[in-house]
Amino acid sequence: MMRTMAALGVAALLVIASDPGTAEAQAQAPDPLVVAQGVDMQTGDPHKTTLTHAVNVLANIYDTLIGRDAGLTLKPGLALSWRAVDATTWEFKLRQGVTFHNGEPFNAQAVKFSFERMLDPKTRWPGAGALRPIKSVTVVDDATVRFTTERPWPLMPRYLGYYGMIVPPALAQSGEDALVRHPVGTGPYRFVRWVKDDRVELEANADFWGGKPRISRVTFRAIPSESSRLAELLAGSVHLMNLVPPELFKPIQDSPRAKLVEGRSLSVYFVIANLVNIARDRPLADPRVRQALNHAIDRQAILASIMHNVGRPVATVCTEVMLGCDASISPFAYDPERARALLREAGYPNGFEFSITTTSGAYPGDRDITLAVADQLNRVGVRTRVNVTEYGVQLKTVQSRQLAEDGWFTRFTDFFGLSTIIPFRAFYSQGEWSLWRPGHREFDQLIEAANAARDETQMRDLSRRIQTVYKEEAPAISLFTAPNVYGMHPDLEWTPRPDLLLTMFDAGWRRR
Amino acid sequence: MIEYVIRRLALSVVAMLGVITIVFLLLHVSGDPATLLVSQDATQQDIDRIRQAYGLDQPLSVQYARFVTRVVRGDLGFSYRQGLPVGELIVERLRATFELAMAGLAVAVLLGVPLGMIAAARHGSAVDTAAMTVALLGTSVPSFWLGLLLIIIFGVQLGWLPVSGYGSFQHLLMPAFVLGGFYAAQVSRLTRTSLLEVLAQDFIRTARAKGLAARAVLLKHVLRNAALPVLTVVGLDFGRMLGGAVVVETVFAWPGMGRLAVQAVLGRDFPVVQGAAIMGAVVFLTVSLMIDLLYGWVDPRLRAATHRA
Repeated sequence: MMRTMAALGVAALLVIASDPGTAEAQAQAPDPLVVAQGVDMQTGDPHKTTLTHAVNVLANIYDTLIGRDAGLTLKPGLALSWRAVDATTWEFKLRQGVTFHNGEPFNAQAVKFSFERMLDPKTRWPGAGALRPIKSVTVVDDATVRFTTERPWPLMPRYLGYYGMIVPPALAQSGEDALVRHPVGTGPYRFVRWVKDDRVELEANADFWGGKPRISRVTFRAIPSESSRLAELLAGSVHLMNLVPPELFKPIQDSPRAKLVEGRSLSVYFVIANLVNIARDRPLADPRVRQALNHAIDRQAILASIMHNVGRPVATVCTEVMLGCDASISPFAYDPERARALLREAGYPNGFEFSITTTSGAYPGDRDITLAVADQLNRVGVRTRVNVTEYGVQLKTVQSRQLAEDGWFTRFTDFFGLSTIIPFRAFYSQGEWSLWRPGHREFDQLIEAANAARDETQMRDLSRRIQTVYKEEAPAISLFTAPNVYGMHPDLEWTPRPDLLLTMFDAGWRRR
Repeated sequence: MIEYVIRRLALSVVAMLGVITIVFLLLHVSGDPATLLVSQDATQQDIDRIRQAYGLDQPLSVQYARFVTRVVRGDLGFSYRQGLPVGELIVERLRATFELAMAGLAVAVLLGVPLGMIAAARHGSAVDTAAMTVALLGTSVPSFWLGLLLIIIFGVQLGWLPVSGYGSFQHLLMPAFVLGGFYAAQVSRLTRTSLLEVLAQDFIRTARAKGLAARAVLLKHVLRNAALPVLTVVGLDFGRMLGGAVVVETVFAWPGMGRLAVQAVLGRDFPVVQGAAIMGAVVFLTVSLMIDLLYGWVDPRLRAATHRA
């Protein structure tokens, strides 16, 4: 129903959007800046959630030790510098003279407290697994902390560029839900008010260590309907909307009252082959068949027709923004003849029956992309049926390896920007989402080696080999990057980030 | 009367137990809160740890027994996603929900009753046909479509009203109209039918025969007698609006019960869904009890009957 709603709304809005007559010039920059997401933040405590809608808001209030710019390059955050003391010890020099919004001092003790809280099972932080290699945090002096890791962890700074928001110890200890209701950090904005499911209001922190934000007040609104969010944007009462679905690209592009802005993507669309305990005589058990499926897909055509040309074909398991993603490995060529030849070679000259499970509205364009994939597979003789399932039901069947279909349309995202994470989660035989069980020995060994890599060079090298084996084995149809698209007020200046964070410290109004 | 109320309450408790059992089973069979909480962004240990923390690794029967015991003690539990007591989350939405339901009710009555009256008074005329056509449109136009249409005209094009959101009287106008308009259509048709039925009765003929003005007949005799079925329906509609108007809340970004419940279902936030279901049942029960009590006020015959009993 929501899709129909969106389509109808868009059609009607298009008519208005093409009429610039009613757009009135505003003399002053809008205040507050209003950002609209589809869902409210779930909690004000960064150690209770990893859900993006919450993290997007909290990233304005809390700081991490290490920051990242819009190109994901690491830069100082609450830590001024960091260095590896030995293979299993990282030392961080902290910024001094920083205070939390409630006046508590930021120091090594706050860092130790925050990380111990994140890793404590009682906190129930869903992201704790990513930081598990941390064994202990020691205060050296007020401005120095050391992290001891279980194993050499050369990539730790990359993880701390996204995870690890620092909270004020005294306040956090005052009650389990103190931060849940009232977030307090060291960041560029301080929390003012929260009307659940409606708005979160923030104001600039004049004492921010990185300087006073250019925009003095920011409101994050929760507007569930995409059409209503678009209407707000066109009415000028919302100035930035995130996660724009492909069907709204054109109305925004065509409107003089808004602009469409695209960021680089850390997300990949796949149709993952269900290889759980697959019998040898099944078509999908043969790598040639899986390669054939990849050659049957015209990725550019789907990008053009459904995604309005937003996105790039993906060769394997990573996007070009990720560390160690080998650009020299090219995506599978669209070659239906080659696909048919491979099928013949594998003993399926007349194709076979195939099914894909997909969702509707869980990811931008999900259902339409799957239908297009099915259509293209049909053309090489793979008779494909598509089942649309509710997101929660689908995830449960995948998690319990009970998936009835041969293929799983999904999207994988890696917010840390590392090329080895998606293959680890989705294709390593022990990975939590893997349907490749029992998997491929060499592939599994490479993944394990990459996780234990001594340094970035070794990690890059192993990652390249993972990508090569992946492409030969083709345990999935790698499609293209998922869109990272925003609708913005024409005068708002802000660069979208691959990690989807809505950091308004970086935003400003263009002078008129 | 008191005995009647007690019997009804007992029955409702049984009904409520049925509701929460069904909700419990449907939710637990169809999805896993832990996987949805972490999405595709965590390790197996994280998922297992979360399951353990919320007791989701226990057999279904154990989980069910725990849940029912808690509810009986009046404890709705904590939201998995928001980490706050479910009772608090519901109370926070009550104000917005109540405001919208009251405004919707006002629209439904102020629009529906006069429309039905006009149609009944001019029964069979063009006015009647016109009024009933409007009512038919009211019930058939989908709320989301009407909502978007209003947003486009008054929010985007004319800029008279805020597109969506919560906080001021202006924010309330469009959602109240869309929500109330749907029910107004029902109310008007029922008012018309009910009035026509009463108008055909003997005592109305008597009233007219003794020379009462048409206006007095309509207001004093007809309306009062026709009010009972209308009151019942309006009351139940109000209950429905209080339970959460999902579509209207979604289109207008209204922070009410409906959105809380839908988000909880999608995220399999079991305690919140169960809390919302219990809340809905309680509201419905209260509203229908109140209607019963209102009957006595509107209709003295019922009051007399109760006194004798």
